[in-house]
Amino acid sequence: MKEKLLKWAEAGDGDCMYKLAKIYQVEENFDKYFEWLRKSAETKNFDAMKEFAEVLRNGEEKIRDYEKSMSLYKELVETFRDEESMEKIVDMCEQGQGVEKNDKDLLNYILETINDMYNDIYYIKNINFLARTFVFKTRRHNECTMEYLQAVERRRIAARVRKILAEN
Amino acid sequence: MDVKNLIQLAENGDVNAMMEIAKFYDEKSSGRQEDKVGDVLSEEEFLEILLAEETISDEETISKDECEENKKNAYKYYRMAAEAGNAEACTEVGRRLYDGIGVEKNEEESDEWYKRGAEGGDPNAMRVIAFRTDNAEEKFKYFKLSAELLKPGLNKQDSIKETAINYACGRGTEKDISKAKKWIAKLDEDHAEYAIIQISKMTGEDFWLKEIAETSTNTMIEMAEKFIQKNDFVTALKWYKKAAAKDSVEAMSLIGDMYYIGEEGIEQNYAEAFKWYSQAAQHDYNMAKIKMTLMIYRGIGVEQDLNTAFKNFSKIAWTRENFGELGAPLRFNSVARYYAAKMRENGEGCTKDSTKTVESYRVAGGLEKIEEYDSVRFIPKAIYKVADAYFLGDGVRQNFAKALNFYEKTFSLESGKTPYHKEAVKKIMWMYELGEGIPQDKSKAEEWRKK
Repeated sequence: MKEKLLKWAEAGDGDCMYKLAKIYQVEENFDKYFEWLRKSAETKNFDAMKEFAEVLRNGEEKIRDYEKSMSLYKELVETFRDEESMEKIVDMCEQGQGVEKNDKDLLNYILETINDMYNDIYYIKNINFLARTFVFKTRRHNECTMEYLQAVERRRIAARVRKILAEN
Repeated sequence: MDVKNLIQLAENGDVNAMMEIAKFYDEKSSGRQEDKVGDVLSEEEFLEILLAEETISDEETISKDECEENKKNAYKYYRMAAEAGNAEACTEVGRRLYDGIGVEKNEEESDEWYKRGAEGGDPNAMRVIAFRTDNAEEKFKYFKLSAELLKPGLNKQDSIKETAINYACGRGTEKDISKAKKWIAKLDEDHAEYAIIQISKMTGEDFWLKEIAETSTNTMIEMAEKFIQKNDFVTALKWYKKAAAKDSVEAMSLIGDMYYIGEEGIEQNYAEAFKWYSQAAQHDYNMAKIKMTLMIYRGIGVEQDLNTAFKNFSKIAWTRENFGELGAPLRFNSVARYYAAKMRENGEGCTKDSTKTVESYRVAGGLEKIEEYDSVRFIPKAIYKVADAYFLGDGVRQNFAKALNFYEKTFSLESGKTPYHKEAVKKIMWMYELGEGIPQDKSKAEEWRKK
C-alpha cells in the first residue's frame, strides 16, 4: 500500500500525498509526515488543509505559525464554507492568534458568510426542504439530514460571534 | 368462474367481466411486500440480504417480465371497459397512462381519461382533476363533489380539507367562514389541525390558530414559529415547552436545539440541550437520537463515549424509520449510516476493518438499496470514500473502472462549493493523464481540467 501511495504521491496526486502522510504519522516519522502534509495542503486537498492548519496552530513550537494557519482556515471557509474552520477562526480571534484579539472585521466576515447560507431550522413553512417531512398521525418531522445538522452548527457559531461582538 | 370464461365474456363485451379480469391481472402484477416498521437488522443480517439478492437475480428478471405482461393485460381490459363507458375504468386508464404502468406514458391522454371518469361520476377521478387543474372554480367544484362522494378514508379527508380551505380563503367560490368551519368539523383531529394551520398561513388571520392553541401541540409549535420570525426566542421557547409538556417530541428536540445554539436571550447550555435531546430520544425520535449521539461522540455536554456512540449510530442506521401513512416510503437514516461508517473507518468504538468500512460507506452513500422500496438519499462524501477504496484496493479488490465510475458520481452530485467535488475532478483528470488503470487520454484529461 505504502509503495503504491508513494508512487502516486510523487506523480502529484494530492489525495495520495495526504494518505501517505497519515501512514508516516502512524509510523511516528514526523518529519516526513509534516512534509507530505504540507505538500498535500498546497494542492488544496480539503482534509490535508484542515489537518495542516491544525498542526500549525497546535503543534510543537518550532513549527508553529499562526498566520499561515489562519490563512488556511480563511481559504477553507472561502472555498468550502466549512463549519469547523469557521469555528476555528472564531477560536483564534478570541485568543488573538495570528490576528488581533477579537478582530471585528474578521468576525463580521464569518457572520456574513453564515448569513448568506440557508439556516432556517425552525420554520416549517409548507415544506422545509432542508430537513422535514410533515407526517400525519405521528406528528413528527422525521428526517435528520446532513444539511440540517450543518445549519444547526452554523447557527451556533453565529450566536457565539454575535455574543463576542456585543461584549467588545 | 375461471379465467378463460371471464376472458370469453369480456371479449363479447361484458363490462363487468372486463373489470374483473383487469383486477385479476392487476393483483398478479404487483410483487410488493409489506414493509415492517421498527425492525432492527444486524449488520450481518443486512449483508446476508445483499448477497442473497445477487445470487437469485436470474429468477427475479423472469418474474419481472411476468409482472410486465400482467400489467399490460390489466391495462388492456381496463381500456376495453373504459371505452365501453365504465367511469371507474376510465380513472384506472388515466392513472396508468400518467405513471406509465403497462403502457407508454402519455400525460395529455391521461388527463382526457380522467375527465371522462369525472364526468361519468367517479369521485377518484374528480379528486385527481381537482389537484391538476389551474382553474380555481373547477378545482373547488371537483373537490367539493369528491368530498361528498368518496368513501371514508384518507382521500376523502383530503378532499374535505381542500374544500374547507377553499371556503376559508375564498378561492373558486365566495369566502364563507361559517361554511369552512362546518367542513372542518367533518375532519378527523389530525386533518382538522392541518387544515387550520394551512388556512392561518394562507390568510394570515390569527383567530384560526387561537381556537385550537390550547389543545393541539402542532399549533403550539406553529405559535412558537410566529415568535421566532420576530426574533423573539424567549417567548417561542415558552410555547415549545408547553408543547413538550404534552409529549411533543419535535418540540423537545427543538428546545434542545435552542439551548445547543444559544439563541438570542437564551443562555447556551450543552448539558440542558443534551437533557432535552435524550428526553425526545426516549420517545423513539430518530432526529433527537442522532443529535444526542453526536454529542456523545464529540464529548460535548457529556463525557465522550465512543463505544456507546458507535452502538447507537449502528442501531439507528439499521432501524427502519416510519415516514407516515401517506405512502411515503420507509427508509433507514443515511446520516446515522454515514457516522457509523466513519467510526468504523477510524476504529472508534469498534475494531478497524477495511472490508466492513467500504460496505458501510457504500450503504451510507446510497449506492445500495436495502430493499426495493428504500428511497435512497445520496451522500457524496461517502461515495467518494467508496471510490477511493476501489482506487487503492483497500478492503475491496482494486478496480480502476469502478473507481472512475464512483468519482464521476461524486462529481455529478456535488456543487462547486463542496470539498469532495473538487477532489473527484482532480482524481479523474489525473487518472486520464497518467493512464492509471484506464487507457491514457490527454484530451479527456484536458476536458476535466477545465471543470
